[in-house]
Amino acid sequence: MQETPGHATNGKGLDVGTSFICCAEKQGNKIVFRAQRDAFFDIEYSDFTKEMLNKSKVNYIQKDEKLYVVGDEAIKFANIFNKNARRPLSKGIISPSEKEALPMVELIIKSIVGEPKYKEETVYYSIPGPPVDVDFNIVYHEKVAYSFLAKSGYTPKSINEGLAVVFSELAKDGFTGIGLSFGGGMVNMCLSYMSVPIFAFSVSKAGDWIDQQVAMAVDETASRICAIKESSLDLTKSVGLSKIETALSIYYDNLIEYILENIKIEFGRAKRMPRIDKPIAIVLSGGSALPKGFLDRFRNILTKVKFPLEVGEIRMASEPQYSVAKGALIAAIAEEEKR
Amino acid sequence: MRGIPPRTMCDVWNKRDKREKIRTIIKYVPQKEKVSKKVDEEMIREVARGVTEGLVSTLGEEIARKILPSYSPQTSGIKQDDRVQIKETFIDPTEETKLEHNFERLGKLEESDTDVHKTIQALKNLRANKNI
Repeated sequence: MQETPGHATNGKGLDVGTSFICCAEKQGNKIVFRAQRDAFFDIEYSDFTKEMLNKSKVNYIQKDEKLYVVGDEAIKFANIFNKNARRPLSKGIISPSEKEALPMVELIIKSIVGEPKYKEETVYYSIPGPPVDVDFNIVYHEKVAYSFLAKSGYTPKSINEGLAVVFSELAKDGFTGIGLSFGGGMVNMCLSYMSVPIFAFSVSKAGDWIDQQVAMAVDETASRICAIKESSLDLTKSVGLSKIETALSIYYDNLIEYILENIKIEFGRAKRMPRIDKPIAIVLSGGSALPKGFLDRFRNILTKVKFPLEVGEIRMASEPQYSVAKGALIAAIAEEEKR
Repeated sequence: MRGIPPRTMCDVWNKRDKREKIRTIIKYVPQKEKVSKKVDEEMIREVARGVTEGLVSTLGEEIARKILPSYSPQTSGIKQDDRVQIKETFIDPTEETKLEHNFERLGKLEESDTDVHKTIQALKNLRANKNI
């Protein structure tokens, strides 16, 4: 696809996700998304290998004595070598165990976001909510992402991932409701009342967790499970399932139950809850919510849970994999127009 | 009784008098205090004189580095502070500028016809309301 011609509006939205990094920009009446899989696979350097990668138009970064294949091709290489691709982000944040990959993350982010249209253009980038089931904080991740963008000449501002989903999908509900983002490393949730976040949190079980659990259960690599999950999983099917599909189905159920239980717990803990008169809407988004039948699974499990709020419509985001970037873009343009 | 002649190394050792034992210990066991106080680069070079010319400086420096923590080679222009600086440069994320790569812009492009204009206006209006 060619670059879209047309007047570009100031402001950009960036979804810094564990599986994908996605940038949204408004050009004319359209929104242009630029998404890149957030994975790499290292192979030993040789002139021959480098030549082959160049000829095959495979993107790579050369560092020390290694060639790091980036993007979708990293997953393909991992599957060929029956290994797992490396992920610079883990559980929604810049992975502390992949510090050597930091310059590469910066390079990837810069090449996705591009140059600012003018000095100090606003860019909103997503950050996860406070995790409730793991012991780490998101400060390091937030500051590192901030420094990358500031160095490129932007004015970076962070936005909670769940709130970005609310901005993107709940305008007709007065920005009131629950935004859920099912990502690779985390599931983020935000309850918003008239665009104000009431509470937000994240859990560390998400798409990667499903891949790992299924991989262990069926003795496969997580990268291969991920490829199957993304290409052919159908959660509406209940008969004739393969061993991998059965395991995926079980762990999807488990993940949804886990999220709803955590929402219940966090509702119980919340001190200042607004009185919301009408049933609230729930929007599902994120790459892990893409399999066919996910929405029905969610609805079914929700009916079995004593949910603390009256729930109205439950729907999928219009573009689930781009919701966070789009919400961040909306925040950025609104900010730019205030200037 | 003439006694039983010594048969083992242990018996030999026990038969020696104290002065002889000390002499043997000094001869075979390295005495740290003997070298650590007086040793300098010159002395180490003396020790290493038997080695070929090309190895002398390397060996001397290597020995000195191991036994004298404060030692730093005269020939090298790098000071202790400079070494720390090099480490800091190594972890600096600006290293990204030095990475060789074969792409300009990454990412797959996709367009959406979603009109976000009304959403942006609604958000701005809501945020402008000071009661919220």
